[in-house]
Amino acid sequence: METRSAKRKKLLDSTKKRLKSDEPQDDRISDLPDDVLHQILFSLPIKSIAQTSVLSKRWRKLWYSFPDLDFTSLKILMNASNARKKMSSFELKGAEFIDQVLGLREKHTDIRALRICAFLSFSTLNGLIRRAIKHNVQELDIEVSTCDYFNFPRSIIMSESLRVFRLKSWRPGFRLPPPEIMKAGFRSLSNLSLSRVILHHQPSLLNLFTDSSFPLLKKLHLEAFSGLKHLSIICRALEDLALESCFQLEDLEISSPKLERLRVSSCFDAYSVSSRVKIDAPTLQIIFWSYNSITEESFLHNLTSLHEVFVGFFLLHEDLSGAKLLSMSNFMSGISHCRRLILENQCIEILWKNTFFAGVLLCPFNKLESLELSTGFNKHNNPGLASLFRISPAIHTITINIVGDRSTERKQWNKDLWDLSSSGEERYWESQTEALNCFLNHIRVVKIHGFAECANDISLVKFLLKKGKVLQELFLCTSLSKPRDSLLREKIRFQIMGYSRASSSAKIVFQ
Amino acid sequence: MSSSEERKLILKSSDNEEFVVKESSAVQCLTIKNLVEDRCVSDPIPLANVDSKILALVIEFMEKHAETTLSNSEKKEFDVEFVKKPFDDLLELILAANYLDFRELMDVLCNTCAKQMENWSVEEVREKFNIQNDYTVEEEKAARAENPWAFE
Repeated sequence: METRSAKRKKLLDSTKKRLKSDEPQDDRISDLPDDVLHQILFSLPIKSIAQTSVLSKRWRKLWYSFPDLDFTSLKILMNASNARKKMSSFELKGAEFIDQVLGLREKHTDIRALRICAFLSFSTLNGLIRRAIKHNVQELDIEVSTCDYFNFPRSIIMSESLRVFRLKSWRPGFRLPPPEIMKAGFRSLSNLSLSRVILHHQPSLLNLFTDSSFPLLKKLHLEAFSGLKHLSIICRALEDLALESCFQLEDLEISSPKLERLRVSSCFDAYSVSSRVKIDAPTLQIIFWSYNSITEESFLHNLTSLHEVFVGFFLLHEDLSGAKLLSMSNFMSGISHCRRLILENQCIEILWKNTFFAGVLLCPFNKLESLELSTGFNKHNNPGLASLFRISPAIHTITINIVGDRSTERKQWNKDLWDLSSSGEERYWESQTEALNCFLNHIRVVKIHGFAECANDISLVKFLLKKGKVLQELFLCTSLSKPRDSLLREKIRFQIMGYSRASSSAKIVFQ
Repeated sequence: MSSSEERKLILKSSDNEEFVVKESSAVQCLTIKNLVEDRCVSDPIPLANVDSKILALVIEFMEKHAETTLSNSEKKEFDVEFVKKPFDDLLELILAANYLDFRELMDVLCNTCAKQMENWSVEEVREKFNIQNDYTVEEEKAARAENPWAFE
């Protein structure tokens, strides 16, 4: 127990210490333990961290044991044309200084992460990677521009410590080693991203991502695999798969038992007559399928956990062959378990147009709760829209994005027509009342973007208001228009507000 | 309005001052959280490495961040004002946050420290942090020469 006088003295001393602001203070910052100082340095760009090495000997040690080396803040690889002029003499030598930095490191300190974005010669790249692996690097993120094709650095394959690996090459790209060699390693890898791979000599990757290879891989991203034609992905731990810009792809087969998120964009050979996609993924929740050519055959099975799907196809011609139409229809059937569907651009209109002639029906989307689509929305689209409503019995939210030039549709809404029983569009919707019974019992929120005060738009609105028994909100978002239309717009809004409503709680919002 | 379920803890600083805090706020400090979970809580909890002035500041931060009614932007505004303190205090706070394993406070403080360092030259950093330069002139030149790319 301290005596009172001792306590008072201690308090006095500590106060004196703090008041001595004009006298040199003790070096408190260097009292902090190494990992705390490292934490302070984490938010600094690597140049500043390296500069601290001249503060004192201890700080030099801190720099050479700093775990995360992120050289990307040096902005060595900027856009190709300007980059060379702005680069320093060090960077022009092909960022070899990075190799030197690694060489000077404390022998027994591990590197946790190494990130580089630079011009490198292949030998420098290889040397860098070998050094990083020796220091048990866990995360390696390399974006590189080389003079010529290069081979995938094999020293990475057998690393026990590597968990995250990203290799992105600028033109021309790199080649992969044979699958047997790649499969033998990467035992600890959980995250792999490869970009710009040349596979013309090896167009089939059916044996690379098998059930037993990449045992811990959870996230896989393959981009710009030129020449790739056949790809099969199993990987039993895989949860997240992204495939981009594989324009020669003809055959894609995915059967990963734990896959939850799938993204495929700008893939598949539009000219191929034997293209095929096959997906079997019972845990798949989200699909993002954008700007892909329609394959000749589609097999989507077992997608029972599907929650959200974004679909858009790249169409070479507007008129689909019978086989492609069937394939597209099978694709849609495959995703019919989803709850939320967003249809990109106007592929749905192509489907409607062709469906009418080919007699192919879409299967019902029994669990669909929310739908968003884009359409030009003229009166010819109404049957297609009605059939979409019909196959979605449980839907409660619809968003319609009206696109395209609507000046021809912009007829003046004639006030006299208001009272008469109606235009062709109105009569059409009336005739659908019975068939859309389920839909009308469920629809709660309708949003229309690009709403214009023309007959087609208004007849749909009138129908929804008149028959939607549980309708809660109707958002009508108009695009900008000429100021002299605003008086007419007000008149029409007033009329819309006056339409009879089946649901007493229905609210109309104009934006 | 007091809630009898609201458990309180007593924290004692190195200079024997006692502070009452809600257990729900205090467990943001993992050191304290571990004590509570392992049921090794003596009353009061002695914190030998933190004096009363700093502990009071830590508690101020702790209680602000435990308030569920505040939005993230309101908390950020508080943080901005909180770090406007003399350097010595910030460093003492870092030591305390490290000892208490208080992640949020550490992040805010380290970030502030780093931001200040970024704008200074090597000489300025040495001066402001009062770091003793134990290099000889030749040694310092050699140290600079090891990483010439950093000094361009």
